[in-house]
Amino acid sequence: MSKDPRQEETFRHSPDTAWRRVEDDAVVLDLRSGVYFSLNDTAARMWELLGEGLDAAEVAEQVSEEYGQELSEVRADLGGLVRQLRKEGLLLPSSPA
Amino acid sequence: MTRAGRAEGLADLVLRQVRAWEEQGAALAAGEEEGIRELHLEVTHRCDMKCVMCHHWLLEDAGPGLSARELRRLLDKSRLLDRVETVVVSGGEPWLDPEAVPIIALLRERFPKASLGVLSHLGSARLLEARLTELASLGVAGLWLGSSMDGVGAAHDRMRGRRGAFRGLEAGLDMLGRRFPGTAVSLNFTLTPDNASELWPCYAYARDRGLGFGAQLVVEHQGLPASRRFRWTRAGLSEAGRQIALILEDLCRSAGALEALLLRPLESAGLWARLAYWGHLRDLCLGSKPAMPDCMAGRRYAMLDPEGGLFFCPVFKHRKAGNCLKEGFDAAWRSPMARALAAELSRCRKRCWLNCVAHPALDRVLKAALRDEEVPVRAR
Ligand code: SF4
Ligand code: SF4
Repeated sequence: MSKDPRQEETFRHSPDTAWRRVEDDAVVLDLRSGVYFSLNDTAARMWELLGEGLDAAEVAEQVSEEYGQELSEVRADLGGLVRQLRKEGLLLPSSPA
Repeated sequence: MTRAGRAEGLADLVLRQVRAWEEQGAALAAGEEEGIRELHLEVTHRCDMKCVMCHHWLLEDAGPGLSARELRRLLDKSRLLDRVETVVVSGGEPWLDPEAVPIIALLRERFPKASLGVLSHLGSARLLEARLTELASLGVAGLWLGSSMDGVGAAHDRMRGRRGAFRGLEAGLDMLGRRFPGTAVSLNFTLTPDNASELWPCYAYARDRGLGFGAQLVVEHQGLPASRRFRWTRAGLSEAGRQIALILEDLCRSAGALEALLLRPLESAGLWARLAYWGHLRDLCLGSKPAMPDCMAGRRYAMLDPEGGLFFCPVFKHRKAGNCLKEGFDAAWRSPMARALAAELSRCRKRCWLNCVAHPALDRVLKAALRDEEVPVRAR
């Protein structure tokens, strides 16, 4: 079972995904199964930033700032999102340097 | 709240992006000067069907139709038609016209690179076979064929006003498969309050046979006779909308629309135009405003009736912009009367969504948007 991300933890998009923004949201397609996922605005932004290699703490801070949301709330949301994306195999931990 | 999920329907999701492209494209393409891209020729009013929505068979004083000689003169002198990309021959039933073969051969010669198609009812398999054989012997290649299909079985017959019409259509399709395999064939459904529930069965019929399929709301030709006028009810329109929604989902799945959106958006312009067309048709049935912000009829699209009358849109067929046989095509097209009519139609706010006029407009705005689209990058 996936755990909440540690603050310094970084991730990468699975190579078996393709995604794009659709207006403010995003759609992520699992190329192996053909199953797709819609991400709303904030989830899409988190997905984008995680893919850019920002760690969990940086993502939460940036989203909290951009969307004017409480940091604690954003951290909780991010934890839930990362858990779900990892469970679906869409998000992978970055390979150790 | 942050949310990830699978709730949204595939078609709605894809259409959101297509709509966004349409908006971007409309802004990018606004004011672009363009030549005539589509030429549609009605070669005869004669027809052996009595379709309930049609005026051709009701025209009692119909003349002999367009001759190949007159058409050659008209085409030879026109420069405005040089950039035409699509030429469509229709009627009436064009194959009944004794000039059909020389006219089509002439069009192939004049527009060697254009997409060239014939719209007919395909219900006279023998005549069709004879005409196509003659065209093949003249070296005319790459012709596509279109036909109406307004129901499966008796429902089609009722719309055509002739018993056995559906059997005839099937015989025509069988003959084409046997004798002219590889010919692209597309069926077009005229959506009326009487046959809305037949839409999905017809779509499935075409899909299962590898045929193209389109649909449009019945055109009430103003100022022309018709054996019936149609009155839509809210329930009829919502049934049509429901059937179109099924088609949209099926199209998205069978064409791999999501993969195309994510991996090949630039190569899939034809698919986006198709989905956009169906999406707007659905929304129109469900009560949305007309989708065409700036109708291209009169700028990109020219229609000629068998007497040489120039018109821009089937709904306003009775409003002729001039006569190309008398004035010459270019002079008729450029005349102050024609330009005033084109300007008026560009502001038209009818609840209309016609395959023939909408597709070129969609195609144009989507291509403009896709020029700016970034090539997708896959995760590594
Ligand atoms: S087959 Fe075409 S031209 Fe003939 S009556 Fe029907 S709609 Fe009109
Ligand atoms: S919007 Fe264009 S195609 Fe539709 S009725 Fe008006 S002029 Fe004709």
